[in-house]
Amino acid sequence: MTANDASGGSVIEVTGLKKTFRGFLGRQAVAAVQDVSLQVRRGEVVAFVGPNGAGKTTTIYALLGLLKPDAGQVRLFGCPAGSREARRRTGFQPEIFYTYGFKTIERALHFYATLSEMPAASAAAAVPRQIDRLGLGQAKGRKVSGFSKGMIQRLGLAQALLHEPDLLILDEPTTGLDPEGRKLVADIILEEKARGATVFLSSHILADVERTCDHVVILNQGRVVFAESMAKVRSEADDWDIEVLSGPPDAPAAPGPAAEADGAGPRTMRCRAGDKDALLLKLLAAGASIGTVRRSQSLEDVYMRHVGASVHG
Amino acid sequence: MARATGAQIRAIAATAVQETLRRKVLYVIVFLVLIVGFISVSSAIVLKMAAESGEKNIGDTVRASLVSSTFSLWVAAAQFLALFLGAVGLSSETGAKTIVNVLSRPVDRWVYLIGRWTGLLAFLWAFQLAGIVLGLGMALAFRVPLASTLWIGLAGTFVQIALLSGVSLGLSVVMPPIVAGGCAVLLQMLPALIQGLTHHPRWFIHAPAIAIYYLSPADMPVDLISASLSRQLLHPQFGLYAGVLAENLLYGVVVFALGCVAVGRREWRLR
Repeated sequence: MTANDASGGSVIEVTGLKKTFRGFLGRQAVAAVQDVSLQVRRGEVVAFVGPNGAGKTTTIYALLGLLKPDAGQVRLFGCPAGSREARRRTGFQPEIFYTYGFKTIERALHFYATLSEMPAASAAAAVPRQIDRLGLGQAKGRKVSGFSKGMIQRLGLAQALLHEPDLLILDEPTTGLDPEGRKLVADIILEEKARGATVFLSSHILADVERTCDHVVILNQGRVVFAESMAKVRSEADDWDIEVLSGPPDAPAAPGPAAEADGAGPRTMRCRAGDKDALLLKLLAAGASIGTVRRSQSLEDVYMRHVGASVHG
Repeated sequence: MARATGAQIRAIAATAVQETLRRKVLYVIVFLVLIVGFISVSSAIVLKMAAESGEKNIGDTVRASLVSSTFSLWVAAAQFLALFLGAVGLSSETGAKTIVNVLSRPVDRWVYLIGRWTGLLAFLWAFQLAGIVLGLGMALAFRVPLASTLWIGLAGTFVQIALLSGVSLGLSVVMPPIVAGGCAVLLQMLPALIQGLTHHPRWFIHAPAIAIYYLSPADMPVDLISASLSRQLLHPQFGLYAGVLAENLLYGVVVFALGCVAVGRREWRLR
């Protein structure tokens, strides 16, 4: 996924998207999206991350045709966003899934299946399958109004998966989920990728993004500030951080050029990948207690580099 | 394609009915039944007293008045419900934020709006039918003669519900629910308000008045239900009544169709 990749097979193509919300009589204009261009190819899992108010949901609503761009083009499967064909092939889970509390889980899913133009026989097979897949079996026959927040989020994902869409747009799918639910969502994303679906995932949980996504797009203040493959993010992480919890003051210095120490207490030592094993052995031999050992550039580092300054002033 | 669209309309309509049944409008129905019961009991006492004193004419008048009041009460409630439910038909789903999961699917906006109106009409017409059955039951029980014009009057109540709900739902696409409801009421009252000005001697008053008169829903020249029950219609104009009903039904459909066009251009931003 690159911003300027013009090759075929694109599922999402956004070019120069701009959207400004205006208050009454045009006052209090808020530029939600200022210039977003991106391209997502078939079968990719793309993370769309950014701080609150960065324009993620506005972009997603533009993809769904619920909002009309002030400028720019949004196309899904080569069709204009919001076209019937585009929506037929798309499954969407909103950040918070609102549905009809008076419906049972089965009736709610059958309702969404009908709206997705699923034949009755396909819907009859898909509804129980998705209920079981999302771990909602114990909720069968119950009205949605009695569901916990986590169960409603699972139902939200089930309705998005129901018609086996070619494109899944997930807006913060793990909101309100426990760790087990988060793992389930991550597993389902990988299953959908294996099925051949394209996944466009908006998330704040960078660890989940690192685990599931092929590409990452960072949005800040309505603009794409970083768009790269996860493989490249990982490969550029040539340095390693070694956390030394306690150890002798004469512990060996890191052999690489990027060594650093944070004082007398727990400290972090940075070294080149090739020097990591040797440094670890030296530290252990000197009686140091080692905490974590990790690549110095995680997605969080990249995120903070592009977004952190603007968020924290 | 047509089959899928039909299924979508049915699903949306059924959901709209379920949603309406969970509103507090059911209390209106219970309240109405209580009022009708109270009127019936008090009328029965008057009828008994009239019978004991040999006043046959008073008895006939009271019986006709009782049935007429029942119909009027029910029609007024149905019209209020049509206005209210039509005006909030779209905003309730927008407020509940359930609309995003509908419109992000291959559902045309006009299909969605037709589904909502169909569900609304199903509920409102069922409500109106219940009132009519109740009124006719009372007419039979009290042996009130039913003139042929009464049936046109009763058909007119269904048309009126379609008109009010269609106009308020159609207008609610482009304006807040309370304004949409108010505009629907105003449109309904316009012919009576403006009719006097259509004969004004100054052209700049009568010309716009005539334009507004013809742009408003048609006005039924007589209250067919109460006039039928009190046998006041000596020369009923069936053609005129039927024309008014057809015109008003068309009016509601046209305003609703304009709403369908507008809803296709509307943006949905949920906060």
